[in-house]
Amino acid sequence: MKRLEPLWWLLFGAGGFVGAVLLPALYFMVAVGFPLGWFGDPVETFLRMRTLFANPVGQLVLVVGIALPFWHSAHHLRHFVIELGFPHSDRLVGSLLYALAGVGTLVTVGVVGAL
Amino acid sequence: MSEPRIVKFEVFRYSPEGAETGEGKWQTYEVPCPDDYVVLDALNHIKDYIDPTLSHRWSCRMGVCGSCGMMVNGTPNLTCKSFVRDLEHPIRVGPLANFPVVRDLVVELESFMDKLKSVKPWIIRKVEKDVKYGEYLQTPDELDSYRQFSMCINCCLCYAACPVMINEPDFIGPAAIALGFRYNQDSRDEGEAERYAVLAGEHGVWNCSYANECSEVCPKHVDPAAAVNREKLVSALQWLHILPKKGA
Amino acid sequence: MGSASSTPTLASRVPDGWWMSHKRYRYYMLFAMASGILSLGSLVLLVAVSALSKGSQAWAGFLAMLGSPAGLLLSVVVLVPTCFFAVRWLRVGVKIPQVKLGPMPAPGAGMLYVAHFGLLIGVSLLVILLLSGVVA
Repeated sequence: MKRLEPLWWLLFGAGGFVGAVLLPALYFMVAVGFPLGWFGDPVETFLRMRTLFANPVGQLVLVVGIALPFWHSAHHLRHFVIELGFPHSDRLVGSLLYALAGVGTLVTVGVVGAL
Repeated sequence: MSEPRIVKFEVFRYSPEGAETGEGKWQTYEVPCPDDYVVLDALNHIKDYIDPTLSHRWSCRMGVCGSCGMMVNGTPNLTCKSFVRDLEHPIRVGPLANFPVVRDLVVELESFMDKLKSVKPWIIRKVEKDVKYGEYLQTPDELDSYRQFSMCINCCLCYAACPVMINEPDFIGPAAIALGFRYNQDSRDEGEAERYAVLAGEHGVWNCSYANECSEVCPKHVDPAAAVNREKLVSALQWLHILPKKGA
Repeated sequence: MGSASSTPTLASRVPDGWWMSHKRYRYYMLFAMASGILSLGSLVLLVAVSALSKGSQAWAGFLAMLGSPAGLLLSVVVLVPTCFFAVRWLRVGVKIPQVKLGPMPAPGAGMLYVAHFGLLIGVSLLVILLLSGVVA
């Protein structure tokens, strides 16, 4: 795990950027705007979303937008745990968090691929 | 000028003679402080007129030498720059956090010196140019790329503020990394490959979580957090072999 | 180490609960927690995509769930930290790329501010326009 520190940091950085730039608007539309019916009824939004994300570009955006923040959170939480006073469990905690992010990525690829 | 005002100070005391208990304690002093007193003036007053057994380090009294750094009301600061009138009373003065204490307000800087040396903070050349060929020239832009990082006075406030330092005392830390980065950025230097193992190694930049505290407390506005995180970017790209290492 | 190590020293102490001891530390720890909450947002989006792939009824079910008081509360819990995160991330992120990489000159702080927040505004507008159906 220690040998891959640059990789974890690059994923952390990429995930932070995606989380900062894409997530607020995407989350707002999908989890607030659509449920409250501000942008059409469920059938309309269903058809619109299916059309938007039926192509490889749209699906790539979804995978990147959903999976990279997992890596971001995993890395930051790993440092958070160290700072709470547990530097000696770093190897265990870090491996666990990165494994979770990996599983999250695989699930995301599967779910988006099923669209 | 107005009458000096009596200000309460709580000063950390520890003496190696009573080391068995391993405890320090806080001792209260009442110091008459004129309006223009800084914390260092008050400490010197205590030492000269109240309690000669108090130990503290200081030299220049003008924010240049970097030896009077202490925890002032819980925040690392140069005591020569901390005005008594701006602080909440009683004023609590302790030794810099994250360093072993030698006595009272004096901390052990040996480990810091080792960390500084480990980044090879000097210009490294593969082949030294003979003086008869003249000096190494540098453009103003090339100078700007590292200039601010050469302003460090080694006062160690950044080490006392760094939340990583608390849990990982072997982290080479903000000042040492900023200095290593300063030489890596110097257009005359060819030592980047030699410094890589230390800067991007087990105790190097990857331990930093970018809390930015080092830059907040730096009295010389060096911005060590910028240096540490730029070094992360550069060494990550070098790790991917996108960027070459100077001098490799 | 040097000769000084023969002197007994008092080990540096870990201040108990140091992260609560200073305003800036507390702010930083909030940021670290907001970083974790990003993934909660991602998870909700993952559930949304899963519903989308299962058909219009599953999608309507997802929307009903998120439109309930509990769902809206969840959205507040996600969106407030995410926006806080976005602003601080883009602000402190400006410091990092100001370095010469290979032949490219180092970009200035002003340019990076404009780029970072321009990207946030641009991407947000694009997402809103596309998903709202204004632009087909």
